[in-house]
Amino acid sequence: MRSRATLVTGCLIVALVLAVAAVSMVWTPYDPNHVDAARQLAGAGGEHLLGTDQLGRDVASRLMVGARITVFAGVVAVGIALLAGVPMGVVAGMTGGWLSTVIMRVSDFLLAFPALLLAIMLAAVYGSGTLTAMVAIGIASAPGFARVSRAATLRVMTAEYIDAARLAKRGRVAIALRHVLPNIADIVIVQASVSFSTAILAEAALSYLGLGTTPPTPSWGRMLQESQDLLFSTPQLSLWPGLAVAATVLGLNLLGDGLRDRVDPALEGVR
Amino acid sequence: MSPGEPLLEVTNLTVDSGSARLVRGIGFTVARGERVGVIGESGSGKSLTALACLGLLDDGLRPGGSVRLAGVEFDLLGASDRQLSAIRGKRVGMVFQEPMTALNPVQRVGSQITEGMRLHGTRPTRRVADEAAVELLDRLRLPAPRQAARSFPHQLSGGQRQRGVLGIALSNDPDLLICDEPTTALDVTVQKEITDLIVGDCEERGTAVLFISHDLALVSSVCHRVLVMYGGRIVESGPADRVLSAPKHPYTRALLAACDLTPGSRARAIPGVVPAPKDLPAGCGFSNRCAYADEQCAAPPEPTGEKPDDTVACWHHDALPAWPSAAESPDRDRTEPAHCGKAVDSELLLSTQGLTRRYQGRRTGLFGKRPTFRALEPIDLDLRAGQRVGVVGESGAGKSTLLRLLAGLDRPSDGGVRYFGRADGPSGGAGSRLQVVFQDPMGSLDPRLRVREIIAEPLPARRSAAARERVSELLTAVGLPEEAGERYPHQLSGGQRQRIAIARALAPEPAVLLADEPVSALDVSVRAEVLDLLRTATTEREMALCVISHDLGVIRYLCDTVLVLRDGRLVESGTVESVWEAPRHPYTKQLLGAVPRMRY
Repeated sequence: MRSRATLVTGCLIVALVLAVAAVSMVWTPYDPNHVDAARQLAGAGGEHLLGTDQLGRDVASRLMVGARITVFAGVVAVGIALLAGVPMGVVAGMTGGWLSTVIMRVSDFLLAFPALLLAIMLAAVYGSGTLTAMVAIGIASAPGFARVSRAATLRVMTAEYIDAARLAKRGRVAIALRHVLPNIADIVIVQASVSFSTAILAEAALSYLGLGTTPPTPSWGRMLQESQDLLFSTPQLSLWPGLAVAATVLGLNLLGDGLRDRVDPALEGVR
Repeated sequence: MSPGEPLLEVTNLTVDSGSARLVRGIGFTVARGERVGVIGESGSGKSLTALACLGLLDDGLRPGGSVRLAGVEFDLLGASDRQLSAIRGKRVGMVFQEPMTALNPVQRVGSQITEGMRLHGTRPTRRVADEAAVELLDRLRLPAPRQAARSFPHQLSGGQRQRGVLGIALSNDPDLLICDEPTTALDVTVQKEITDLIVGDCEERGTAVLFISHDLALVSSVCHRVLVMYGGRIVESGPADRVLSAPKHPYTRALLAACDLTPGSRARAIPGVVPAPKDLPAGCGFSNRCAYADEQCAAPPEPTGEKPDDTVACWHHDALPAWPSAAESPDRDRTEPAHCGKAVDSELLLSTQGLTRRYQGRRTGLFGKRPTFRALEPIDLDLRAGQRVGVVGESGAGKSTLLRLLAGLDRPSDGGVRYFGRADGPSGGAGSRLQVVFQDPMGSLDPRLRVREIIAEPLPARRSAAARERVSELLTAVGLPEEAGERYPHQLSGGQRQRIAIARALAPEPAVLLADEPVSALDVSVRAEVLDLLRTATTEREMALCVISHDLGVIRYLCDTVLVLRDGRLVESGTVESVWEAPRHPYTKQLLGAVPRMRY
């Protein structure tokens, strides 16, 4: 029962974030980039639900638009990491030998390479922006996926049903798709939900350093960065985007945990 | 404490898991120095009973009833952990099934034995305790006991480790030793050594034993008295000779019939499967599988008998026919044609020449040579259509290596396998004309696939209508309902899973079927039906069968030729009967001598 509650809570939080991001495309209370010099740093409540920032922009509107960037950032980063990391790990785990060594050493190299440096390099070449930052984060998280899926694949490959599949004259690709991937899915899902969370945090950090989303487009990370100078005088400016990040990360982790328990048919009786 | 007082007295013991009652009110006693066996299949509640007696149940399981130990004023069930700690390891020792996990891998065996002695203060100083541990290991006939005490568990063999576990259990000369399947993970020859040791040592010191096992023959060779458990109840109890020679309860009778693998007979499986605790019938737990059940069985029968330690819990035990009855015992008339003679001229399906497998160990030094380990010495073998060959040997004998080489799942270091007269290259393999049934029916079925997809796997066009039809046909052939195809493996019982594995192997109509310990993971009551299935499936189609097993009874039941392997070497081969009646190699004699036989 507990894992079901986890899944539902996670789903609700993530759905809320997605809904907010979707609504922001058609409607926001105010123009998120509209500067209103007369109403700087207004408090929460009143005309502006969550108040305004130092330029008089509506915080609620900026948060809503920021959700869009945040979801986009997570999807791109995790997508890249998944698509690059999982095949690397599965191939390394299934073949063994020199190919496995090469793949894993490449992944070790990526792991050892500082993600921040990678982001700076990419920003220098392609210009800073959300996409550049996310590609950097995606590349940096791929080794994690490779390692996790290799370990899981090695475990699956020792199972007798793999021998049975080989005796049934299934090819390697068929075995990978039919037997290996479904059986490592639980672990990969958890890794993905954790990576999604780190990607959101990394986007915030990179934006904060000026390597991510460029002004005036709002993202939760940028909003945190801009509110930094006013942390002591108007803390609520940092509070809202900080809470948004924390809640989304929590929601994703819950969702990942719940999904992991869900995809395993053997756990059905336990629930 | 009076002399007549039992050492252990269990009254109305129950174990609940929240959703179901797993042990349903059982009572028994163990007298001083008495060896009591608990027989039952998996799920019968026999291990839970032992764990409940020591307060070792997992969280979420609640015991009820009472467990009294002579000389202890409190009830062991309600006792606190602190109170129980004074008893566990001192008055009562426990031996677990798996010697590797029962020992702490990062602690030396000797210090694990002395831990209990020092904690309970029987030998408080390190020096005295260390000496005592070495003496104990010597008593348990461990070669070089001093060295063994200094070893870590992984440096010892399975049998040696189990002696270490026994050493821990016996370290404080307990009054009661509880053994939970102590030899299931061990080879037959080692099993005999360990049980001889338990019997000998406990006899000498007057230690009582509660011996839990699914192996009737083993229990009969160890115990004075047996309790037969089914569905969380004791269905029959009594002196071992009486219960095993004149069983009164239909379940005990069925179990005995299912165990009998005498060649020429047809082992009788118990119909149905052991139900999950929540699906057990309300009255007699066995009533839904029992041939004698009627409406009276809807009420739970009380254990009855002339003496309190010789009882049976069945409404109809007086009305049952005399044992052995023709309807229940294995029918011995049903002899099958001998295959030994005629197989000689049939088609040669598989032959090996100098088949060898070596493994390379780790380099010991920077310039050292890598040591090689021979898992299989050169072996020549022919397998012809209709032949049924058994390969027997203990763990490490190279049985599984041989099977993997024959199946083309591993590459030989030397020599090769010729399939169907063709000289294929190492990668050629036999195609789907050769199939394997693996040991563990859980591990050999992909948990993410439905049964239907699993069985269809070796078929050429597995999504076609023909394939669907073939799967349905196979499901019927292995005695499973059509709906089973839509299930996942975990929703089925062990015996059903193994039948699915057999159905998958039979799907492409192979000419050769290899089976690796096909029944060792199964309960006795379903073992017979899986063996029968293998037997009928292979004889009907003139299939060649090669069975690997550590269980000589299984080989004798299924095969007509036997190969005995030891340390990767073929030590003896011949027809099953000749090897059985007149073994020539000393190892074969030792192996046959170690098989536990019914004493009564």
